[in-house]
Order: sequence, then structure tokens, then C-alpha cells
Amino acid sequence: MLKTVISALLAIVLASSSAVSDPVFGHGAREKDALSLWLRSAWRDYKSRFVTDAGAVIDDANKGISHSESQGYGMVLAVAADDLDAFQLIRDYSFETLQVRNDSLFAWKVEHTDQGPNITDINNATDGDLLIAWALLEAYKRWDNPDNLASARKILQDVATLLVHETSLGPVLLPGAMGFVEDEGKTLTVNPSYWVFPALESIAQFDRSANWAEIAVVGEEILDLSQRAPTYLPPDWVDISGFKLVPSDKFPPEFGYNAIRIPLYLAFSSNAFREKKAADFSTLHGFSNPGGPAVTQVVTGAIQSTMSEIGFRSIVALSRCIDTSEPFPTSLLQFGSDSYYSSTLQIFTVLALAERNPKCLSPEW
Amino acid sequence: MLKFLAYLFATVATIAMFFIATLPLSVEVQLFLGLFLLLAMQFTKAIPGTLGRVIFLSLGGIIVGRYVYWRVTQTVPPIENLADFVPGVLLLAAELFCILMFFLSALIVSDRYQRPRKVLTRDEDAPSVDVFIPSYNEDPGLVACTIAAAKNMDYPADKFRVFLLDDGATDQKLNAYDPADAREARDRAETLKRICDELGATYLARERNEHAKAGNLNYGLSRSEGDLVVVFDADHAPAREFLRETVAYFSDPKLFLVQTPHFFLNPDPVERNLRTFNFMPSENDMFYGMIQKGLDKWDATFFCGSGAVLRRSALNEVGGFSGVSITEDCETALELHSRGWKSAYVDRPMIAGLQPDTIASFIGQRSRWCRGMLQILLLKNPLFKPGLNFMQRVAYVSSALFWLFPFPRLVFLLAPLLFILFSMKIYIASPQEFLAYTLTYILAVVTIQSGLYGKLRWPWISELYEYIQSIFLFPAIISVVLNPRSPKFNVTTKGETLEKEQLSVLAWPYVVVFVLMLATTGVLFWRLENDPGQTALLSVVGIWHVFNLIVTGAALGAILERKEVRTAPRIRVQRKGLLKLGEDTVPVTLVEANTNGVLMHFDKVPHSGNMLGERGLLKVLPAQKQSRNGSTSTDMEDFGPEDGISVNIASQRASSSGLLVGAGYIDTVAKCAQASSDLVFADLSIPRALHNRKLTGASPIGGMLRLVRWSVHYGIRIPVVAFFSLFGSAARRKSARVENDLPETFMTPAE
Amino acid sequence: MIKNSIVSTGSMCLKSALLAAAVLTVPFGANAQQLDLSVLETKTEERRTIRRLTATADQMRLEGEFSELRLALYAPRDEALLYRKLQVDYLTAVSAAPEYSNLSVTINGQFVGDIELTSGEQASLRSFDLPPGLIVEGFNEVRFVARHKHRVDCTIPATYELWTVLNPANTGLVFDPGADTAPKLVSGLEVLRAIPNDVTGSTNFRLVQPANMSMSNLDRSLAVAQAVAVFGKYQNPNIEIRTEPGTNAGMDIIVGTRAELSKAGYAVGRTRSGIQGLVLMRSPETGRLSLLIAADSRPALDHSIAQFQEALSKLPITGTQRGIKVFTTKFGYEITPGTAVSLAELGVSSQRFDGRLMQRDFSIRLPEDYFVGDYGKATLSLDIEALANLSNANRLQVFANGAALASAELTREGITSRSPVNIPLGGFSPGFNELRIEVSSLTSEDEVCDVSSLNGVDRLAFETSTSTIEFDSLARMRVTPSVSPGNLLPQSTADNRPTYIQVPSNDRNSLEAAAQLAVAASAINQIVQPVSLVMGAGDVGSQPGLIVAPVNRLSGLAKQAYTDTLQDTRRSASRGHVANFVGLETLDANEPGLWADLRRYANSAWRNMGFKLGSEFQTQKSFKLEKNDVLISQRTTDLTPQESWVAFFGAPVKQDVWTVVTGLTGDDVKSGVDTLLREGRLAWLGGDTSLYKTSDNTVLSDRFSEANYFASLANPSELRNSRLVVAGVISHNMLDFVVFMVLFGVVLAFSYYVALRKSGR
Repeated sequence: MLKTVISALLAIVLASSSAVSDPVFGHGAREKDALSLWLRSAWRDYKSRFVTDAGAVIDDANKGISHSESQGYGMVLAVAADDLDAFQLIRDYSFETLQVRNDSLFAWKVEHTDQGPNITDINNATDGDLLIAWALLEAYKRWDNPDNLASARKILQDVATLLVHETSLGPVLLPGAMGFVEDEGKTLTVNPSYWVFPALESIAQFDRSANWAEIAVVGEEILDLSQRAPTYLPPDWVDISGFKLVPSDKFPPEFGYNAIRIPLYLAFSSNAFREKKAADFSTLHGFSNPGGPAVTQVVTGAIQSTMSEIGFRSIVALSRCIDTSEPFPTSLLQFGSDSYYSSTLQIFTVLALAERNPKCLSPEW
Repeated sequence: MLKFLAYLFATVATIAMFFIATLPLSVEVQLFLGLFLLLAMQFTKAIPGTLGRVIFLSLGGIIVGRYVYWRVTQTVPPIENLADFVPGVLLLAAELFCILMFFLSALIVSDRYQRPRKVLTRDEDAPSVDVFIPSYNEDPGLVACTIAAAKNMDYPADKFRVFLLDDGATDQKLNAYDPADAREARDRAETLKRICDELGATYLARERNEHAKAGNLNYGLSRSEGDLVVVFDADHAPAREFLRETVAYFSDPKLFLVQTPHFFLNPDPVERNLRTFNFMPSENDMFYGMIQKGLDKWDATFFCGSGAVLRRSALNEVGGFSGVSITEDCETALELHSRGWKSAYVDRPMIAGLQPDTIASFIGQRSRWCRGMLQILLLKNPLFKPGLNFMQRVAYVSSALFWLFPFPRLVFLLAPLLFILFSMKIYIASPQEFLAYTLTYILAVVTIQSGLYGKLRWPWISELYEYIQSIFLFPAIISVVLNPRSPKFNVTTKGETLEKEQLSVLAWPYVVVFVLMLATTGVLFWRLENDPGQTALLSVVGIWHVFNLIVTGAALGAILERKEVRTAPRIRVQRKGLLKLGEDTVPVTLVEANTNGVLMHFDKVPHSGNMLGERGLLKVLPAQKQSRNGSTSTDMEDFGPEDGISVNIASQRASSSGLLVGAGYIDTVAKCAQASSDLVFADLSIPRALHNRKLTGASPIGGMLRLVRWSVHYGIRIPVVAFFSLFGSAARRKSARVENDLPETFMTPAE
Repeated sequence: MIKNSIVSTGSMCLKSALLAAAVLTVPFGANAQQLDLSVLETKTEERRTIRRLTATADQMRLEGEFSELRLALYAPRDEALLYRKLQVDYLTAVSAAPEYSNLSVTINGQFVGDIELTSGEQASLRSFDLPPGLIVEGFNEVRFVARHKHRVDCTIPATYELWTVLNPANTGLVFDPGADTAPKLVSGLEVLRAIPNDVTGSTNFRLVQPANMSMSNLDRSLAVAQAVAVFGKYQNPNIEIRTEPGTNAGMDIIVGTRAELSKAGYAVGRTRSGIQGLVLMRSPETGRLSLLIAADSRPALDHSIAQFQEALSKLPITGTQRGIKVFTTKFGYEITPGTAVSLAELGVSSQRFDGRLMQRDFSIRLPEDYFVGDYGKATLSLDIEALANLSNANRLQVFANGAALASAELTREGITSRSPVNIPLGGFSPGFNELRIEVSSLTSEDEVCDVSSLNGVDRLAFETSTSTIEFDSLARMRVTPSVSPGNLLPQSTADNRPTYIQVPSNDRNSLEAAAQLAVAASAINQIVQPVSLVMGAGDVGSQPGLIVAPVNRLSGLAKQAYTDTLQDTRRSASRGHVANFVGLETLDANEPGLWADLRRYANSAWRNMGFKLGSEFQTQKSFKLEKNDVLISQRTTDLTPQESWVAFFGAPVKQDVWTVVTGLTGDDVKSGVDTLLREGRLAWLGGDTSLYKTSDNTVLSDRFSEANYFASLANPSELRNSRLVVAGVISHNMLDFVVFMVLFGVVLAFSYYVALRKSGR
């Protein structure tokens, strides 16, 4: 009995202190000199094009608005590029402008008018909140600033209480505080791409307010259930009611710009099995469409349009590299011409490559 | 409140113990548990005081409890084959009865009460006392001694009177139908009246003989008015300090009874026949030495009918001695306890009685006690009688239930036979289980008995006594159960003389049982030889059967009545006296005495040489003066016949330190009684010391060896004697001459 | 993109055949037929091939004066009519008297023939002609009965020198497969029950993994192998992971998306198997099966595999009534506590025995979560009637998994069911148990040994239909960590997530050994446990799951599990202290001195009184890892006190579990696991650490870490079960319980004392 008591005490002590074991996000790329050069130049260009002096991250393809997701991406990439000033700039802007709700979550959308930022929709976006919280934790790991940890915990506390909803499959992440739950919680609309797996894995080590590991596993199950014959592509939005899970009727049943991020997040996961699921995407019709992943109707398999920008094509190349270690085409490393969304995904993909399968990059990288 | 908490804590602990003890554990663990507990018991035996005893009993209780659970749940034969099931259940019932008695007696004796001694010193506030001596057919000499001893008690003369309640000479008896009986009754009444006049006692005899002893005592009550009533049986002569030691307790107004232990000078028939009186504690030591003290703790002292002082007002409250059952003493006490009266037990032997002389009378006495107690159990129902507290109920029920022992004893005797002869499986257990459960149970019971009663009852002796009684008590029980009111009071005859060594008249059943057991042992060994499959179980049952054989063999020894020349037991004394032979008086020291004569030691040889057959006058110097100033008055003032007793020299023998002369009293019965009561009964300290020396422990193995020795010796001799007595009984009818040569056989106390 | 990798001739034919018939075919190169028929003297012109009988090595061994071996043989529809000759390749002990020793064969209850067992050094080959129509489609029972008589010696120890071993390589049904040797397409999946054994007697599964195919396909082909192993109960699989399909007896499994397969040269057209994208081929010559499953995408592939598993589980067991029974009780007869089952039901046939020591074996299966402990007993009531007048020194002995548990004396009339023998429950282990009954039948005349006179006089009549064995109550409590087959592949904490099998990336031996264990465990447990292979670049052992690696590549808790066995810091909780206290336990055989002899005598005296001292595992052993040995050990994360209490009473508590299979080098691991499965010893693993020593084919088991108790979901908090479990735990460490009982007795006494003092005067 004595042995069990001591080990129990030990476990408690460990959990509270910061798990210093895991390296900071993006360390793989930073260590390889060629890649770190590319990362630094790509970040410099990204900052100049999309980050305003005030710290807003502009989504140029979406009428120049900013949203909590873009702010989150900006902060995470800043940490990955080891750029403290940019990180603090974006962070302060996000807190000042987007944190206008009575909880510590962030309003998801802000329009920039000449009189200044104008919050058009006060509802939150769960993936944006998660990304910001994740960025704060990575910053805490990198620069040991306890405020980051404290504010991250506050955000996660509210995510846990407001956005985690129990279903027959287990705890699920609601896309937003309002508007995604109908007839008293019986049917929910969720977005599988809001499960940012690397974020959930790193959060699970710092925060106890919810069982983040179990939420990640439920995310995997939702992904499995949403991939149906014949295309086996996950739709952007799904409806869960009781035991039934179907593509959401409130959104077009397509594998589109939301779901394209799923293989990227899976590739980033430290869990071997999720990494394999990323590899399986490479065999899916529509995803491995020549000329870029296609927005495909999941039921009929009809291709609506192709997402030809480099960011999306690099995700496909990443999946192939993990699957059969196919070499990553260097053409996908050019940077500087694409929109905010594609550029963000492109940098993330390169970080994933550096992390998971550096051998896919040609030797000199 | 604390009391309630204590009871709660005890019950909770018991339930938890039951839960753990009945866990389904492997045989191996059970064996280890049993052995370990036995080991622990040996150590806790050494812890003095009640706590040590209670721990000792609890550990034993765990082993017994575990055995009961296993015995009831796993060894009863299946109900399908009825042939095994019925005897199996009977055996189980017998065992459970024994275990119930074990728990009850353990509960009673677990905390004995050592009552502080209270002696009456101031004479003026001494209560008036009436001493009743009920007699029926005892020998007048014997009664005379008791009356003399009673009169000789140290108590203000005017405060106590002695009554002889002669039931042998009631009007009904005097003009009985049979003229010979009538005449005999009238002669006996005459002698008794004369003795009472000489000794200064009052002779009472009532008209009719209803309600036997109870009626006799009630008649005495009606004719007397003392505050306290003392009852002595005809053969129970009291010591001088009896009243001084008992009356003081009556200062407590609610006390109705002070009971003193019965103390016997002569061996009981079994002790005599087996010659164990000198070195083995006798059978009643356990009751008076332990159980009465336990009962005293629970204020449930057992009124034993004699050697007891009662308060008259209490007796009047219940209308005197109740005579429904033939054991009137216990019944009266039960009645009074239920009315809230309190009782006391003085653990100091102050009366000296006579054991029945023959096995037949011994069995008769025990069967009366047995039937009486069962009557009380059936008619008076102590379990639900209002007014008794819980422990008093337990005490009375356990004393009554004890007398059901013949039923389990006979069942244990017959059980092994069933398996050996008819191989009926009535006890389903593998050898390992038998080793783990039954053996540890038996060892636990033996350890507990030696722990509790080690010094008062030697191992295996209780089995012997119970077997001897159960052969005849079993039919008695059946008769009581069938018709509770039927039994009549038959008085135990005391003081018979046995001319020669012959089989007791009740011998036959014991011989038959022994032969049966012997035959079965033969079958056992034959089966062990050529029925290999059953060897394990056979050997286990065989051990049990051989033990039974040994007990029945030893019992044979008890039923061979030894030659008993001495009618009265001889007691060692140290007194000075003067013997006047012819004209010269010689100082003598008295070495031994009994109710018929005395053995003297002459320091210097008188001049007249051989004195056989001469008559002389013996004056015994009173003990008090001698002990106070310690010097012997050498002035040989003359003394007349009135303060001496005429004796006739019966034997003469030289001994290492001088001449040993045996002299028999030839004076009047009253004079003899006075002399002997002064010599024998006045001061019992020496016999008491002798008796206490016997109370030593003995090891179970030693006890077993002794039992084996008896059973081998008597096992061979008795059947032969019985066989010859069957055919040769006519040839040897002549009666041996009764000599009264006192001195040549005298008891040599155990060195 | 035509792949120009180096292709062996076998696969080239394959591809060409494929392209030609647009249907997968199996190559049959000239050298495909290296059957071991070389020993046949005359080379007859007609072609001969063999279908070997499936059994582990120790099951092909017939020991003692009378020995019975039952095997299930699945005859596919097309070959059932062709089987004409049963070939037996046996080697008999030198001490068996030829004229009195014979081997008889009965198929489906019909006597086929018997041969004289000529003992000698080299194996001898004999064959029996089978009447037509005897072998039916589906399962057939092949029953070998060997009777041996010792040449010289009549004593009981002599009976242990009598044995006959069947060589799995050449024992089987020999027939002419016919001229056409091209692999044929097979529609029904039942034929998957007839995967022929290879020369070593194991079932060869080759997972074809073309050069650049994704590793995740390996998970899927392993899942298919597991499904087939469960379907055919192949508990002795031999997994190969190659880039090309195999040629000799066994099975190929090729799984992948259509794109990948076509790139690797396998084109799959429309199939007739009813399952989307599944093709099953069979080569009539070697009987080798090839299974290919293709689908558009990986999830579709998973779906097809799930359909395949579903189809297999629905297929009924066909064949003769006897054959089906042997197949269903292959891993022991399923025992339900509280009901008596007759020995005939367990596959022991009634018999009149004329030898001196009757040995009968049978196997039973206890529930996986049976909690080992001495709290109860199994009652074995036998009906053995003595025909001759036996001497009175004859004994019945009962062994379970090789340990003597109970004995009883034989009466003059033998043993009747009225006096049953109690067998302590502590001797059994969860799952598979091999029981053996040995009854000696010596008569007075046996002193003078005259071999000729002994023959033919029956001594015992063993009626198995009325002899029964009954287990009373069994405590149900899962004990972790435990390496018994049911627990070998740990469940992952998140439900319906696969178990991660971690192997070093560049060590194929460990990979194949891991696959072998996964497939064998699935066969024995009859459930498919989803697994996922994780190739660790550096050391493996960081994540929970099954870790198979040589000693130098272990890390984390896996390494600690191995190092535990070295420092002999064994303090398993369940060891009985009393045995140590008394010194009986720490006794090893060669300790000199009188005191040691005394203790040894006390120990044996104690044992043959039926009392078993000491813990779950018998004697002190050193766990030194030597050549070819394989160490299987399991560790779990410790439960907090409340968790262990909750687990004891039934609420499910998740626990990370590491199972480590290691050896000195990768080859040692592979060869160790091979022998372990061939000898059928997987079911003998116990405690939380087992070392399999190939040198003497023994399994040493012990418990190093603190045991956790999980009330199985069958009876979560039933009081009766908990009591049994408490009893089971107690009956191992007796001294603690006994000391506790004495102390409790003192407390009880104190309570009585206080109560006594308060009442009465």
C-alpha cells in the first residue's frame, strides 16, 4: 500500500508543475538551419503582408476582416518563428479588441473600418479560442512568462464550462457558445476541423478543467463516423443527435476549406495512430485530386472546385510524404504570393514536415 | 450508558468475527489458523486474572465457532440417502448440545467472584437460628454424631436450637401395614428420642409422609420461630465455626441464602473402586470450587439442600420449601431468586458428609438429582420465569440442561460403531479436513478444560463419570420427559458396609457394552487390514472408537465394589487426652479418630503390658485451652465417668515412636456422638488441608495413560469375574465375618 | 509507372498471370514442390502432395502404455473425395516391445487400421488406405491410439519411458492433386479452415508488403491474419513480412488500395466472393491460399476488412459430428462453475486398460477472469472398476498443468463416484488448463516380470460417461498485471482504439515475432484485438501497449520491467510468508546438511498430505535470460488507493499497461516465440513475468509488482464474489491472516471483558 501512496503523491506534484519535458512548438524546423532560414524569411513576409502595426492579422481573401482564428494562427506562428515582439503585439491586440464578451473568450469576427475595429459578431469561435490558448501555453514554455499561463488557463476554464457538451459519444467541442444547439441540446452541429489535435495534446498537460485527452479521442471517433462511403471524405459540418451523426443540413455537405485542415492537424499529432489517419487521407478521391485538393460533395463525390493555392496542395503532399515517404516537391516551398489562409497552412505544413518526416524534404533541407 | 456501549461493542465484534471465521478458506489455512490459535491459547493461559481468562476463552471460542460452521455446513450427509442422514443429524445434534453447554459454562465461570470473608464477632446482636436435621432411615449413630456436632457449634447457646425431623417415625410409618416395619420404626424412634434428650435436641415427627423432604422441613418450619433456618442432612456434621462464618452475611436484608460447599471424608464409589481418592480431586470439587463461585458472581448461587442458611421471612413469603419436584432445594431457590431475593456462597468447607457407599446408591442419588432438575426445567421453566435477570436464567437453564448429558454421551459411543460395522458415512470429511477442523476443535476443548478446571478435574475423568451415569440416567430422562410429575423421592442410603469384593448389582449393562465395543474393535482392525480404500477415514474413526473403548474399559473398574470394612471414614487428629486403665491414668496423644473409635499413641509403655480387651475411661482435653496456652496440664486430676468415655482396647501395635493402641467407644450412642463430633467434626482444618493438597493439575497424556492402565487391567478382570459370577454365584454364598479390628487398616495419607 | 524493382521469378509469373487472367493467380515455379517425399523409395509417376495435420509439437506426442490423440482435419469440398491415403511418420521409444506395441487410427469413429510400432533410431513412414466416402467435406476427427508395452521392465517408472512421436512434417493425407496446377479461384471462405501446415507444423502467414506501400497497410493485413487465425483456430502461426507472395504450404495476404496494388502489379477485376474487393485463390498442388483485398481508399479498405471479419464469424462449422466437437474444444472444454460435466463430454473415451499405469489427458477452459486461490475445490468423481484383483498399494493421482494436486487410494473394487477426489482450486490457472489422471493398477503378480503373460488381461474398466468433474464456485476477479494469453495484448485506455505494438524500426525479427504473438493470442482468445504497429526509430517502450524488442532497444517502463528480473528484488505480495518463516520455501535441492534434509522431509510430508505451502508459483527461480530464451513481462501504472478500492468493487478504472517481450537479440526473440508457439506453451504463461526457456521447454512464472484487482464486469460488486476473492488472497499469505485473527480475537476478548465487568456483581 505504501508504494501506491508515494506514487500518487508524486503524480500530483508532477501535474501541477509545467511539463518541461515537451519541446516548444516548431522546434524541429528551428533546429535545421536551412529550414530555419526559410521559416524566418516566410514569417517576415507573412508579418509584412498580413499583420498590421496594431497587431491585427488580416484575412485578405475574406474582405480584409480579422477573426480569432487568424489572431490565434498569428500568435502560434510568432512563437514558432521565435518572434517575441510580434507575439506580444498580436496578443495584446487580440485581448484588447476581441475579448469583449463577459467571459474570457474572444468574439470571432472584427471588421476594420477607418474609425477603428468594429466587432460585428460577438459569438466566439472555439478553434480560434483554442489556438490562442495554445499559443499562450507555447509562449509560456518558450519565454516563461507566467501571465501567459494564467490567461491561457482562464480561457480554457471558460471553454471547458461553456463549449464542452456531453453527447452519446462523449464530451464534444461546440463550434460556438450560441447557435449550434437545437431542441434543448438534443441535436448539435459540430465542425470536425475545430479539433486542433496538437493544441489539445499540449493543453492536456497544463490544464485539468476538462479531460482534453478524452475530447481529442472523441474528435477522432467523430472523424471516423463522418467518413462514409463512397468518398470517405469528412464534411465541414456534421449534426449529432442521440446516436445519429450525419453531414449537417445547415451547411453544404462538402469537404471544403474547413475540413482540409483535418489531415494537417492529424499529421501534427504526437499519437502514432492519428498520424496514420493523416496518411490514409492521401488515398481519398477528391483529396488527392491532381492540381490541388477539391471541394467535393461528400455524398455524391462531385467535385465543386479545386483549392489550387500552394497551402492546400502542400497539405496533400504532406499526407503523401507520411504515407509512402514520397519526396515533398520543392515548388511548394515558394512563399509570398498566396492569400493569408493558404500561407498560414503552408507554413504549418513545413513545420509538420520538419517535425514528422524530414527525410521527405530533399537532403539539403 | 457505558454498559450499553460495552454490550454494543461486544455484539459488533462478534458479528465481525463470525464474518471472518466463516470465510471460505482452504483446508491448509484453516489448519494453520487452528494450530496458531492453540499456540496463542497456551500463552494467554499464563495471563492471571479475568482478562487473561476471557482472552483464553475467546480464542478457544473462535476455534469452536469455526468448527461448528464447518460441521453444520459441510459434513452433514445428503438428505437423499436417509440411512446416513438421520444418524448424521443425531450426531450433529449431540455435538451442538455439547458446544452449547461449553459456551454456557464458559460464560458462567469466566468471571468468578471472590466473596470477602465476614465473621460474626459480637454475640449480642446474633440472630436466633433453628437447625433442622431431617432424617429418614439413616443409622442412629450417624444421626447422633450430626446432632452432637450441631450442638457443639460455637454460637450463643440460647440463640440456637437443634431439631431432629424424623421422617422415619411418622405416624404413618409407626403403624405401617407391615408389622415388622412398624416395629422397626418404633425402635428407631425410641433410640432417636433418647439420643435427642441426651444431647439436648428437639425430636419432631409429623403425621404423614407427603412431599418427602420438603414436607418434613416445612413441618419443622411450622414448629419453630428462629430468624434463620439451617439445614443439615443426616450425614452432614457441621464444624464448630459454621454459624460464625455464615450468619454475619445476613446483615444484608435482601439476602435469603448462604450456601457452603459440601465436603466429604470418604471417597465416592467410583473413587473408592478405582482407588483414586488420595491423589485425584474428586468429582464435586469442580462444582463447589469453580461453578458455584461463578454462579455467585451472577447472584444465582445453587441451593444444594444441605449445609445452607436461609432466612425464615423469605421462606414464609413462598410458603416454605416447595415440593413439586423431587429436588426441592433448587426449586425453592429459583422461586426466591425470581422474587428479587439475593444469595451468597461461602467458599469454605465447614460440613463433613458421607458419600454413597455403593455404585447402586450413587447412581440412585444422581438419577434423583437428574430427574429433579429436568422436572424443574420442564415444569418451572426457568427460561421464561418473570423476575429473573438474564444471567440467572442462563445459570438455571445451564444447571438443568447439564443433566441431559447422557444423550450426547451415548450418541458419541454409538456413532463410530455405525461406520465401522455398517460403513454408513454419517460424518463426511476428508482426512485433511478432519485434521484441520475436528482435531484442532478437540485439542481446543481439552486445553480449555485444563485451563479452566485443570486443578479441579483431571482430563478424561469427566468423560468416565458421565459414561458411568449415562447408562442408567438415560432411561430416567426418558421417564421424566414422558411424565414430568411421576418421579418419587427415594432417599440415598448412606453408611452401608460391603462384606466382600463383588460386582455391583448394576454391573451387567457395562459389561455388555464393553464386550460390544471390544467386538467392534476387532472388526475395525480386520477392515483396516483388507479394505485399503477406506484406510484414511477408518483410521480417523478408529481413533475415536478406541477412545470410547478405553472409557468403557475404565468404567468396568468403577463397578467392581471394593471390600469396605470401615463404616465411617477415619480422620487424622492432633489432640491430647488421659486414659484411665484400671487405677493408673496415662497421658496419650490421639492420632486418628472416626465415629466408632480412636487410635492413640502411648509415649511410654504402661507397666501392665498387654491390654487387649481391657476397658478404660478416656478423657479428651478440649482443643481451645490447649491451643491458647500451649502447655499440657500435667496434673492428672481425677475425672469421673461423666466427663470421659468408656472405651475398650481393640488392637495394640508397636510403632517407630512407641505403642499404637486402637480403642472403640462402648458408651451410649449420645456419648460416642459427642466424643466423635468433638474429635472429628469440630475442626476440619486438617482434612481441608489434606483435600486442598489433592487439587493439583495433571497432564492430558498422563490422564490418558492412567485411563488406559485401568481399562486394560479391568477390561480383562471384570468380564472374567462376571462370567464366573454368572455360573459360580451359587457356590460362594457364605458371608464373611465382620471384625471390628479398627487399628490394623488405617488410611495412610498421600505423602 | 512500371516499377523496375528486382523481381524473383515467382512474382514475375504472378504479374504475368495477373495481367493475362485479370484475376490474381499464384505462381507455381518448378521448385514449388519441395515436399518432403524424398524419403519415399520408389518415385511413382503420379504426382503426390500432402495435407499435414494441424497440431502443436507436444500434441503430436503419445506417451505411456495407452495414449489417445484426437485431431480435427478440415477437408475442402474439392479435395474431400481425393483423399485416399493417410500417411504417418512416427518415431517410437527404444524401450517399447514391438510385438506388443501398436498404433491404431480411427477416422470419424470408423477404424481404419493399425500398425506395429517398430522402435528404432530413424523415423519410419507407414500409410493407411482410406475407404472412399469416409472423409466428408468439413471437419473430420482423426483419432490415433497408441498402445505400448515395455520390453523388459514391468514397474511403473518404466511406463514413462514409453512414447511415440508423430513427425508433423510427413504426417497427413497424401493424394494426387491432378494435372492442372494453376491456382484456382475459390468462392466460399470456408476453405480458410484448411490452411495446410508447413514442414515445421506451423501455419505460415505471409503478409505481402510491396516495397513502397504504406506501413499502415501492414496493420490491415495483420487484422486479416488475426481474423483468419480466429476462424481456423491456428494457435501456432508463423508470420513472414515479405515483398513477394510465398510458394510452399501456408497463406498469402495482400491488402491495399487499388492504386497501390496496381502499382505493385496486382490488378483485381470483378470478384465473385460477395465482399467488395476480396479475391481468394488456392493452389491445388501445395494447397497454398492467397487472399487479396483491395478498395478505393483506406477507409473503404477498413470497411471491406470489417465485412470480411463479419462474414467469417457468421460461417457455420460444418463436418462430421465428431470432427466438429474436436474443433470446438480445441482450446479446452468451456467450464461453467456449478455444473458437473462428464469426462466423455471432455473427449476422454471409456476404455478397458490392461497395463500398469493408466494415463489419460484432457483439457478444460476456465473463465479468463478466474481468480486463482485455494478458497474452493473441484470434485472429480471417477468410475474405475478393478477387473483383476489389485494389490492395495494402487493410487490415483491428478495433475493440472504439470503439477500434482490431489491423490487418493484405490480400494479393492477400484474407485466409485461415491467417494469423489477433491482438487484444490489453487492449482488451476485462468483460461486453458491441461489435466492428467494417472491410475496405477499393479497386481500381486507384478513382482515377477514376465512381459508375455501380462498382455490381454484387463485390469481396469474406466467408464467416462458416468465419471464427472465439477467446479463449485469460482471467484471472478481480473488481476493485472498478468501475462496470461487473455491479457497479453493490453486494451488501450480509450475504448475502440487499437493496441499499439511498438517494435524497433529496422528489426524485422521483432516485428514478425510481435505479429506472431498478436495472431496467436487472437486465435487462443477467439477475439480479434485491433492492433496498430508503431515503428520506433530509437528505443521503444515510451507508449503503453505491446513492446517487442531486443534487450538493448528497450526504454521507459518497458526497460524497468526487464531490469526488475535481474536484481532478484522479488517481493511479490501474494507469497506466503509462513513458508519463508518456517524455511520450507527457501529450500533448494542441493543444500547439504541434516537440517536441510529434515526441512525437505517436512516439506514433502506436508505436500503429500495434500497441503500446498507457499504462493501461487512454486519454487524460487532465477530469471537469467539465456540464448533463445524469451522473457514476457507486464507492468501497469499504479492505481491510487481509492481507485484500487473502486476497481475491487467493480467500477471500470482505466489503466495504462505495458507488455514487454524481449530476448538478448532480435533473432532470440523470434526463435523463442517460434518455439513457445510450436510447443503450445503460450497458455502456460502466468503471473506478471514469465520466462520461456527453450533449452528445457519450461515456463518460469512469478509476480514482481503489486497486483491490482479488478472486479470483472460479469459480477461487479456481488458480495459473494468479493468474499471468495478475499479468501483467495488470504489463502496465499496465511501468516498475515492468522496473526490478524489472533489480534482480532484479543479485541473480541477485551470487549467481552468490559461487558462482563459491567454486569453481575
